Amino acid sequence: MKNDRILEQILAALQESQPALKEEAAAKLTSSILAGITNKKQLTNANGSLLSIAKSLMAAAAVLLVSMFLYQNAVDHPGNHQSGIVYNSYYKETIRNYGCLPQTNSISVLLDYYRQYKKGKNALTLLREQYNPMAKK
Amino acid sequence: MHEHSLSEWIAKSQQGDAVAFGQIVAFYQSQIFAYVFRLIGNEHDAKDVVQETFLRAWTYCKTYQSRFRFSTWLYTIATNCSHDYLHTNKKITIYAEENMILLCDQLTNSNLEQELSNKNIATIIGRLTHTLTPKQKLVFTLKYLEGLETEEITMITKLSAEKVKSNLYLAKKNMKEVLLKMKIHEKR
Repeated sequence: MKNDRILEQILAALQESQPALKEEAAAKLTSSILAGITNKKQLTNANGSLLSIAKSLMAAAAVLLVSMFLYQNAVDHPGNHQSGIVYNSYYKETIRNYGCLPQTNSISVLLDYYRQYKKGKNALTLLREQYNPMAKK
Repeated sequence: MHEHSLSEWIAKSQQGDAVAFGQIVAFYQSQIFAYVFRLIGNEHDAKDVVQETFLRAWTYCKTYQSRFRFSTWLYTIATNCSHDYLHTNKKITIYAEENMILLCDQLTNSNLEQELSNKNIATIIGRLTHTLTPKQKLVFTLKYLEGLETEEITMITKLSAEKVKSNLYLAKKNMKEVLLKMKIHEKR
């Protein structure tokens, strides 16, 4: 019980006596805190501008990479670089079929072609040879 | 200080006003120093921790929510900074075998130099709490030395009210054992 009382006394004394800095040391601490804040603020601003520069550089690099890729593509596939047709199976098929059709605008010729086509493969071949200059080659 | 001006300073600080934050530093510096000193027990290191506390407060002041007390928020940052410091600088301080009662009497003497008084405080706290766990020392400091309520302590330490109470009980029990070992009552 005596220890309890002594402990209470010690705690009361500790609570009463506030650890403190001398005026000069306290002022020095305040100024160093404020200096730290100012430095941090400047650093943050500098970081902000660095970040925007980095973003611009990254965008420029992306544009450069895409350009290089397109250029390389054009070099690898000369003649086809104006569009992506050469890589598209649908367009590939259309071009191939178009080569087989008679090169004419006449409805009667096309009807004749259709009739021959319905009759059989040989007739079609004949018609191709007749009307398609490419097929003759 | 009016609550109004404090909230004004906080709002301005959140918008990046360093001058307003300077007012907050001037107002809370001594209180935070006292708390950190009681935890660390060294004036030089306590100054470094106080500086780090306010720098962190400045960095994260936008995250402060006005539904909490600002002092509680600062205490939380100071606790984290002190914990980080103690974690990285595991110094073993050996306290002189001085008479605790004599030191306490000296504390109440206002003619003492502040530096000497700080040294006495550090010695008494160090000798009393050297057997406590970090949690026990933390809740003991907040409750008995800083005079905070249990609710505030739970917010600062992130411990439940029951844990705070049990740690306080164990802290007191350990300190009584320390006093018993010192046989203070026989000297008195």
